[in-house]
Amino acid sequence: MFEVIYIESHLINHPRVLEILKKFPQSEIKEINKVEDVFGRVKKPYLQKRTNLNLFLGEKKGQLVKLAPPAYGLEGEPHYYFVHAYNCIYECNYCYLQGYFHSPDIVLYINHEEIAAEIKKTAEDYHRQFPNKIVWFHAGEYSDSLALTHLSGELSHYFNLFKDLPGCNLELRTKSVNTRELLKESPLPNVITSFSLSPAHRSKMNDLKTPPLKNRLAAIAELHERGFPIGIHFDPIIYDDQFIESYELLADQLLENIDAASIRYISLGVVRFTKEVYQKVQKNYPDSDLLAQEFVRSFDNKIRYSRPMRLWMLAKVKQQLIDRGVLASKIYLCMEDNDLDQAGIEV
Amino acid sequence: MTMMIKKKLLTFAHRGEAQAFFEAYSFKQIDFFFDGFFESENYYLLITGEGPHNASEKTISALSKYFDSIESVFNIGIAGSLSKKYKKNDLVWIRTAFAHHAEKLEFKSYTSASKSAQHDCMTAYGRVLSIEERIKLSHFASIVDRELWAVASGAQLFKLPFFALKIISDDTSDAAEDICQFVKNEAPAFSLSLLQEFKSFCNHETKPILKKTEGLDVDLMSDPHFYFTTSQQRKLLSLLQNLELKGVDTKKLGLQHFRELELSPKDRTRHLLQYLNDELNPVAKKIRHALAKKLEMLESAAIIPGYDSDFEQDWLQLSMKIQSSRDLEKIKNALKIFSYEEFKKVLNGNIEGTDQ
Repeated sequence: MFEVIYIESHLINHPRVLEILKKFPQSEIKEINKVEDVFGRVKKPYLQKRTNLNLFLGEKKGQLVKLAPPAYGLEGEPHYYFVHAYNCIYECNYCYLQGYFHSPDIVLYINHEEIAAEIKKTAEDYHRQFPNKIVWFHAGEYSDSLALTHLSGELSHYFNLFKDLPGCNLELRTKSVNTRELLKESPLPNVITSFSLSPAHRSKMNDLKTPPLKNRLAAIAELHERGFPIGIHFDPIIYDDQFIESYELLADQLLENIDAASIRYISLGVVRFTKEVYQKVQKNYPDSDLLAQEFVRSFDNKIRYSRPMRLWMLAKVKQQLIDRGVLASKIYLCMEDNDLDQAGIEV
Repeated sequence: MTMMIKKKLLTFAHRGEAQAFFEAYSFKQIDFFFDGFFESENYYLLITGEGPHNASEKTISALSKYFDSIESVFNIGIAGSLSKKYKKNDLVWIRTAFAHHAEKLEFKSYTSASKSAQHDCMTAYGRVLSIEERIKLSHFASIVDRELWAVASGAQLFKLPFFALKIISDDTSDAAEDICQFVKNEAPAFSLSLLQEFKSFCNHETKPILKKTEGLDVDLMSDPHFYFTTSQQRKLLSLLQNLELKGVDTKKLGLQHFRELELSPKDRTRHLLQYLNDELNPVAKKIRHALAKKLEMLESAAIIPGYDSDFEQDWLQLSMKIQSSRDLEKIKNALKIFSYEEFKKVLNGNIEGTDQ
């Protein structure tokens, strides 16, 4: 899977590193001083991940916990994300990672104790000012939160941490069905596994190399049955001529696997790109229908469908969910300037 | 009219590396600003000299003058190995070219058009002699040369695809071998191997499949029943390509009936583009109809509305001409019943129930 594994010299005998190396006996090992000395120093084409994917193992330095951008999660609560990995084994053709690090190689940071300490400090600082507010922490801003957990081994650290942080929520955001490590933990009400879902045909066309929808739905059903809280992201929503029917079907399929009342939240987001990522998508996937529709530069300079079109799409999907018993208060729009109510749309 | 046959530009650092190519194809010297530029029936051949500066200068000079007649750029020659996985005489097609200059890595990289290539090459501005340097560079690429990145950057500048074929001349242990001595001694054999591999590549080369839209856009644009401005030409091409991406067979859209419309060529063109746009995006059609409905009372009073064409910003600009009290009354009445909030609702996606 990994052609070369680069390891920071001081970690060469770290038990986690040794565990990982055991799983990739064929990979070439290279010692480096720091991940940053090699990773991202030259522009490595994104699609090179198909034939030559490397792994970096290091310790994350600098700011370990960061404030999330506005409209990242449920409104009215502070959202932070922490970084324990860069890049993803999947190849979603809309993914912003193709224009972010200038390298598709995977980086796993193994200093989870330090990251956990920083999360705790951030939560305590916030609660000193606002003791009654829930603080959210998100894993997976730059990676899938579950896909490599059998290698990265961080879940136990974060479950231990959040067990003692009842005023905080942790979101593990994923498209993976790699739930083996997660199922070793006891469910916590404040650790939410959230799945990004798209209609089956779109998933096949856009979420390249990810598990198919039916497998993700099965993973949701199993985790729910075992008591793990579940969140859902219908994001990114991509328009095609079957948009209405396919999201109706997706809502039905979802609710066959978990009842509406048990879903903690559903976020809705329409496909969007920075200018750089849009250009990368054009270059990397020139034959995808993803870019067939007209896009405009929107309120935050991101490239999106026109405002009437995307708000119409969001209202449609929201209504479909409400019609099936999901409470409107559980549905939020991700990275959108207007809430539908504020926009005067009756849903 | 004769069609110009485009040629491949083959670049080599040294004449010795190119000698088998000189023997295989009948090259003739081109009278150019410098020596070392040749032409045959299907190829140009350029001797760049050693190092990225020479390679860059000469490649760009040649492309500046001849890019119209060049289809792709090749860099062919010897390279050193930075990895134990190669042995002397291995032939390698390069995937991505990186560069290392004055102790620093160039951030820019260039990826070749070769789909099957799986090896990366670092172009070093200086000779890579020490083991430490080799280890450092080996983190980024497994092959090292002195020209490729510069040739590739030239090709990129002219938006031409590039390919690179290298033959491994050394392994990690004999880095200090004198390049001049090498060229003298071993170049004939290396050059022959490079030629054979190059010929094999050319035999298996697949020509790009022309897109289906090619032809339809040209037919429409050259049809005297239509009149396309430059931006409309771009729009037509983009709409046809996007419809194809959506899976629509544009040949079956029956666009010929637009020729029969009793309109001027400019208006026919406008209608044609609008139709294609609606085919591509039925929601955009709904939005347009919804807006037209909200604004129709203004238009009936000869008020011309203007709004953000991307629909992102909330504003409406009205322009009107009053030539009589009657005009003024009509405008006042229209403005009385016009609802800006209803207009804004359309911008906010409330487009249902207004479809025609």
